[in-house]
Amino acid sequence: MNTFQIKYFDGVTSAIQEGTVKLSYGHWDIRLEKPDGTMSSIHWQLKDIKQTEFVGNTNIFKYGDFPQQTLECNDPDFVKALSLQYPDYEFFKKEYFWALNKGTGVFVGITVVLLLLCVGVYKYILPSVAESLALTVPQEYEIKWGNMMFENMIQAPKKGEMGSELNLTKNDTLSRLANQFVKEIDFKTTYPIKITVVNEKVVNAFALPGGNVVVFNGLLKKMKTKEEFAALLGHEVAHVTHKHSLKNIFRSLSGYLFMSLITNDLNGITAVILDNANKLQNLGYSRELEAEADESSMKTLKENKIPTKGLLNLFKILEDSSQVAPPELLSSHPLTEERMKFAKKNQIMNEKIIENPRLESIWKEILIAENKL
Amino acid sequence: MENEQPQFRQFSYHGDGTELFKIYIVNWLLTIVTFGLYYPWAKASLLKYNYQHTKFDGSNFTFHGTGKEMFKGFIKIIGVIGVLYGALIAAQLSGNTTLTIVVLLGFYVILLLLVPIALHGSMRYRTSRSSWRGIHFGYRGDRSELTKQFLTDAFLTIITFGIYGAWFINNLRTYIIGNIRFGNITFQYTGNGGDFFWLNFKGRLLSVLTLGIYFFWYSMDLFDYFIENIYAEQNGKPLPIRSTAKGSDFFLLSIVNGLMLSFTLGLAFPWVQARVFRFFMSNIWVQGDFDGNSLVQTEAEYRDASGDDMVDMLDLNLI
Ligand SMILES: [Zn+2]
Repeated sequence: MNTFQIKYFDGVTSAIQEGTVKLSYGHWDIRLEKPDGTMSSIHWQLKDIKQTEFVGNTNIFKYGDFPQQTLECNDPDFVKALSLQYPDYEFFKKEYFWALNKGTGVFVGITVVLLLLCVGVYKYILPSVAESLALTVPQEYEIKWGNMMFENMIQAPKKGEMGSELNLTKNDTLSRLANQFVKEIDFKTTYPIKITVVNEKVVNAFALPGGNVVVFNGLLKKMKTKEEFAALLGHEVAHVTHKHSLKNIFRSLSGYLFMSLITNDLNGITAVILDNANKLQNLGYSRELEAEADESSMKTLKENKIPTKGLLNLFKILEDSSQVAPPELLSSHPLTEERMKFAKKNQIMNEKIIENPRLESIWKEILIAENKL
Repeated sequence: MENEQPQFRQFSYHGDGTELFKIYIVNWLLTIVTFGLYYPWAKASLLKYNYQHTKFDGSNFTFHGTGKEMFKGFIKIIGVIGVLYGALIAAQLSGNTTLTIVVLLGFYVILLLLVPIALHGSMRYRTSRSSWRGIHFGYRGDRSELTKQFLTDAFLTIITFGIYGAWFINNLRTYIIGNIRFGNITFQYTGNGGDFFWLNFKGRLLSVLTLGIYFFWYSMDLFDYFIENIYAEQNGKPLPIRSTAKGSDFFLLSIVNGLMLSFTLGLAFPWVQARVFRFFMSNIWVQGDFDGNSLVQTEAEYRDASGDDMVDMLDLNLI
């Protein structure tokens, strides 16, 4: 009844000792048969029965300090007898994770809910936290960092020396004119905007945090009208004003940290899949930022009474050269049908234009500097 | 009245993918929720499960380590690494180039020194916290001896552009395995650097020539070489250890595992792991007149897990 067949190890030798255990008040009575046929008896005090495990059909109990004694019982009724004999005593440590104590269904349910929670945090909470963190960075720091990055990229032209492979060479004349041009447009920004035209054949432009905008001469050369240039500047200045670089950095960083936390303990394949999902997410975000900058540019054109067809024409230039364009720089400009559609839909036909003669004359000077007039 | 004992005894793994899956999920979630602090407990629960479900001669192994022990070690190691990186960053921020170079060199020297120290600690901890039929394993190596040997061999490996690496690994195995005790059983490692070098040379060359297919046979050669060079002795009686792992079996196992992983986007990982353990364990045999009842407890207890945590953190896989 209260007596069960057991195997016992005394922690001194590895010999398997067969015997019985009897559940008594406050302790277990273990009786073992010695090889010579005599019996010996051991008491296990309840409070020192330390570790309980369940392996296959076997219940394993450990007793005392190092080296521990071990008792193994295969009797399926043993656990039942334990709870009957010692109703207040817990031999089986409850799993710390309560879902494990319930059935498999509950466990799977809880797991799925927690996974969805993870996805939710990643998709919705993390980005907004990252963005609000980005917004807390003071403007002066942004300007300082941006200038630091800028100085690392741009090289003043030295006599008899071409720009090095990594650094971009500044075109002084065009940069001066571009800065005059930008002063004639009201971008409604609090950042000190500084345009730098660099001697590169690449058709591209990018904005650094804090107000530096870099335009590649390859793009400027392809422009025929001042409104195309204004649209480009409107777009780049919007990146600056809306702190897009910072937001992007904060979002990628938080996504990266979140992903490394999650994939830390995972196997290769799952980690790679999650990693790529994160990259896709980031790509989607930079598309979002581009769209925001396009909208902002359109608004700037309208407010300054500059022809809004500039944006559409700018996209046409970018599309024409996209086949030969090398990998893009800091701010990528993925050209999509959507951007063209947006520009077409929002451009105003027969709009009221107020010509700014100074803007026009600066543009003429730019064209002359480019040998186009 | 017993018949003569069989001359071969096999290891076996009885873990189950579903149970492992549960352990992995719980570990994973709790590690995320605690920002990684749960890691030592996660490791302990996995080790416990795998030890419990590994059997030899009808009895299972037990892992006695706890998350708490490993957490203490984990915190210590995080502290050490934090101080090291702190010094490195401080030196870089100072803008002093000489100081940065000195600190950087110091950083690598300390890191290199930490490897044998961590190995030593890890061996002492792992062996002491492992038992079979109530008898604990033990490691009797000497820390400074191991460090000296490790640094000498590391130096030789560097100046020979890695060629000496085969001898390095072999010497390390010889020292470490030679110092493992299991009750009154002693161990020896009989491999030698020259054989090991040619084994690797041949394996890599053929793997490249066969576009990687030979890799599975190469892996099994390495496994066989390791297992068959472990030589145990109980009271002067030899207990050679044999491997029956075949490259073709491992190849099939890997193909199925690869398919399982790709079709489930990696979710089948716990089942794959159980299959791998089952494969390796069932291919290790102990030959000779082993007396499983006459082992005597000989080794002292050792509970400091810092070395083991360090080995884990450095992702060392030297042996
Ligand atoms: Zn843009």
